[in-house]
Amino acid sequence: MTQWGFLVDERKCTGCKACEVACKQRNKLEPGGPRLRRVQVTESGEFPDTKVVRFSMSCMHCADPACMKVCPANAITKDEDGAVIAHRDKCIGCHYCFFACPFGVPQYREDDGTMIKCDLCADRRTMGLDPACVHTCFYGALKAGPLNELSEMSQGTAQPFTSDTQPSVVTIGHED
Amino acid sequence: MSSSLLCTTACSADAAAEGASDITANVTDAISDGNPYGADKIVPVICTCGDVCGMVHTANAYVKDGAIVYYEGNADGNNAGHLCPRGMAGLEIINSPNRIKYPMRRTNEKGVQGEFERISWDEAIETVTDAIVTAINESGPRTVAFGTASAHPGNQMLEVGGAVMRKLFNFDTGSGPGGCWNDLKIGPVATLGDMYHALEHDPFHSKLIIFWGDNSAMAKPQEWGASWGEAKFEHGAKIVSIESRISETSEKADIYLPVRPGTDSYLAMAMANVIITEGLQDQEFIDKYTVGYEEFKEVALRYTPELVEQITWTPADKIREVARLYATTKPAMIEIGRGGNQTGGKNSDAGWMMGRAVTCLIPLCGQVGVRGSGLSLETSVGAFNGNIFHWNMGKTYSAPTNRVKPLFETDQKAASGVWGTSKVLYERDPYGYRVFVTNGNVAGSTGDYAKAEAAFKQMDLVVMHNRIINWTGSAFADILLPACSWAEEYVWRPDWEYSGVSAPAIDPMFECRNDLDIFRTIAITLANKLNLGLSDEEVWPWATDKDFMAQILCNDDIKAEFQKRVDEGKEKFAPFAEGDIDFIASQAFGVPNPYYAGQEEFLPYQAKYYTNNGAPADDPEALWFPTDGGNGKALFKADFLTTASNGVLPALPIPCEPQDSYYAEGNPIESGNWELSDTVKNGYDFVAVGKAHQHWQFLSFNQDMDGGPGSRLLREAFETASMPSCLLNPADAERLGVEDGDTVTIESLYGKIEGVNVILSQTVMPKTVVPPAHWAPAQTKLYPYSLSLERLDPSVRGAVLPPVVGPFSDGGTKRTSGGAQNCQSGVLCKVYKA
Ligand code: SF4
Ligand code: SF4
Ligand code: SF4
Repeated sequence: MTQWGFLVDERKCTGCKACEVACKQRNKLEPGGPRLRRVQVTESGEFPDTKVVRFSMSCMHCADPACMKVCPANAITKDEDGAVIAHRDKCIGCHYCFFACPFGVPQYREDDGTMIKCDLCADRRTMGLDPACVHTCFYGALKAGPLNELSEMSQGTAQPFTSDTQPSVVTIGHED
Repeated sequence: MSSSLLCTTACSADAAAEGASDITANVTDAISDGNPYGADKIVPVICTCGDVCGMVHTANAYVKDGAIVYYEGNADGNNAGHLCPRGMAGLEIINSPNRIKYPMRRTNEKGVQGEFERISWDEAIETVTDAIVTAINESGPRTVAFGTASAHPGNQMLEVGGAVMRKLFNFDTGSGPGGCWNDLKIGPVATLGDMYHALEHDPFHSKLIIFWGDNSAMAKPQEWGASWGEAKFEHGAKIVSIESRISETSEKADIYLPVRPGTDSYLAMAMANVIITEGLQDQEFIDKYTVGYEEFKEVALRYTPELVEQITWTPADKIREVARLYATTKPAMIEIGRGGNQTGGKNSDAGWMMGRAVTCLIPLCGQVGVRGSGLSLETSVGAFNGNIFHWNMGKTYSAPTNRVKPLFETDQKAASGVWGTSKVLYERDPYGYRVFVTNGNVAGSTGDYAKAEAAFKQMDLVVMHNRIINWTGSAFADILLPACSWAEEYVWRPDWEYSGVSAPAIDPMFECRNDLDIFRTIAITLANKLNLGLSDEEVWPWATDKDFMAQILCNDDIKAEFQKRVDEGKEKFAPFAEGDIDFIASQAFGVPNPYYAGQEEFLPYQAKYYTNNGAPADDPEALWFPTDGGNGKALFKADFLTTASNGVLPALPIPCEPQDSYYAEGNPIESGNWELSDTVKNGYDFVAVGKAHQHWQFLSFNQDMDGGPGSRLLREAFETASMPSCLLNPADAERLGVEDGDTVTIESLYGKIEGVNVILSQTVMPKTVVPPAHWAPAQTKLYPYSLSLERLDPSVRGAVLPPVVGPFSDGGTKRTSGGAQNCQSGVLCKVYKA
């Protein structure tokens, strides 16, 4: 298995949220419901030396996913690209995955009482299409693919996102 | 395109071969034996979500059983598969529950959110044409406004169709808002003789790029991705951003310079001051290629950074830093955007003066003639013929109007266009409108809401043809006509280099008709009711929207012109000379604009291109600026501005305050009076920072009946899109006793907006407020209806720009300027807790 993941280039992201809109559309999610990709905006410092950071985040598709380990219904698995998939047909909506995930990623779906999270656009991958969020980004700030290729492509500028769960996300320009 | 997406195709195809991903997860509908999403066909459609960025971007509509089941960017388009958030919300607009589905009639009072009931098309057309006939017979044809030029239609055919209606029946224009970027051209044309927009790869050669009032990182996603951003990230260009708030572009800049809205010209003169006092000017260039340096220098020496800092709120040391950097870094380019020209007002030159003063820095430092140097203006205006597009308007755009004759004459005359909106709509002078037919959002975006409201309420009939209703329709329309979306009709969308055309992906939804069909039906019904004795074809010679488009783009004149270029070996894209609309529609990338084609030798940064208008033939390397007077020099002192305006406009770039002056007697450096104005003393001490663009909306086209954005996904994604919101600096909020999430009132001399949600942000300059933008009628209430150059006599307004010269001139006709709606930024206001 080659672990897939995302490259998030914070230098390039302008916070346009086209990725958010694409994700909602691909997942047929109504406004008000879960938002599987969200652009986090943080401001620090004082005008005019303000620093604005924009980070487009969904599931980290961890190599060692905490969510999967705690799920009592075995509803979370990793697919052949290493994408962490929450199976809607098995999920009992207990929220354990939400509490276990260091990033609070899985969200509750009121309409059928299950948890939902990014599946790295499994159906689109099957058809040879980019994930919807990646496809739409005008700025080259979001990419998906085998993690080692993403790192190589950045020529060493991308840093892995660190956590015990070994997230499959590399970032450029990220400062903790 | 810069953004080479990592190709996922190969890897995933392997995965699919090994056994499909487990797809019992969320959605599985992309999976199919044939096309993704089980589509019968994948149809390219030009993105005309209405809030157009000014470029040709193509989407793919996945069509199954006559409906669009998925929608995303087309990888073969020049957007390379990407769509901005508005484009990405396109399918949501097409499928919006608030689409106008049938003709409707108003059932409630005007001035509030509308309620409507369904009527038949026949009844709707009867009502509309009866009202027009009554108005024509009783008051004359020009009391009918056909205002399709108002707000941006996205599909360019609408503007031409509206122009045909106006010519046939002598209707008035009734347009608005008036060319918010129009003022951008006045300054650069006065100084350099023309206005330019950098070609895609020019910035790669720039060592320094100054974005002045220009938020390209947000307003032009493709351009930022493939051009400016790439210049920074891949080619190491240093970026300076000069803005009244920390914009998306400022975030990416190496140096950010704050400036009080409307005071950009002071800042430019302070930079000139530093450059001259430190001897950094390019004296050789100045001596050889410019006029009026000594007088300019005299003015600049008055604008020391320390004095200017008090006025513009820009730290003096930063003014020095950027001035030195610009003078000593070659090549450096300046990109000017709408940020500055949106200030000003009826009695102020602050808007257009921005471009005038800023462009003087270019010859001052000899930043011309080398790739990566020079001027670039926000995309849509970067054309040498003074119009948006690089072609001869007479042979393309005007071809349909040239084909028809007015059906009857009238003696009525009044200003039309933006001036008509001001005079006829607002002042009802000399006749006022009785019927107003539009797809635009005049009441949602012009300013001076009370007057607009009164004007709309006194009309016999207001008709809105659109996809969703917008505030003007919601508050004032008597009749709603359902129009097709861009996926249901032929679309023509030109940008400054390409024309994109797309054919309908699906049949019209509900009872929608394309706008050209609506015009045709109204025109023919009217001609019959007026007993003109004409056949349908004599009234409206085009049976379909496709025929109409062919008249514009594939007429014999254009083909011959294009063929000539091909024969001369100047144009390689031969098929267009033979092509028809089907051919153009098959090109996802679009086709080169007819008159742009073959002009690859035109280089925006090389003023010397204009060699056939007096440039020395014996010195082909010499620069030659196509400025007024024909001596080929850049003008620090532009005397023609003063002569052409009968002495009203200054020849030198002398800074001035916006209409709401911060100081008692305007520019305190010139007047010597540093006392604050009564307006400020009376507590209007916040300066409003306007927004021409934001990620979730550009113009006011896809506006819903409550005045907010039509896309619910965009409302969810952005707090500013979810309710009318303002941005305040936390220090000011503390002073006002206001917290994040509180509700405030923002009040200017022109009106007030109540119920505004407060968002605190350190991207906002202290003492400024960013009021709600793109929410109707909120923004309309804060600003006056104001047009630059209003002080000029109407007879000279069009003459303040010199004629187009050079090989692309269409015979020396004057450029049109006429001024623009402005004063949407720089207004003084009070902010207080409700
Ligand atoms: S689409 Fe790209 S630039 Fe826009 S918010 Fe998402 S990651 Fe950032
Ligand atoms: S980010 Fe959270 S939900 Fe995603 S794989 Fe890791 S632990 Fe699971
Ligand atoms: S990969 Fe698909 S599901 Fe995951 S964030 Fe992107 S669009 Fe949403």
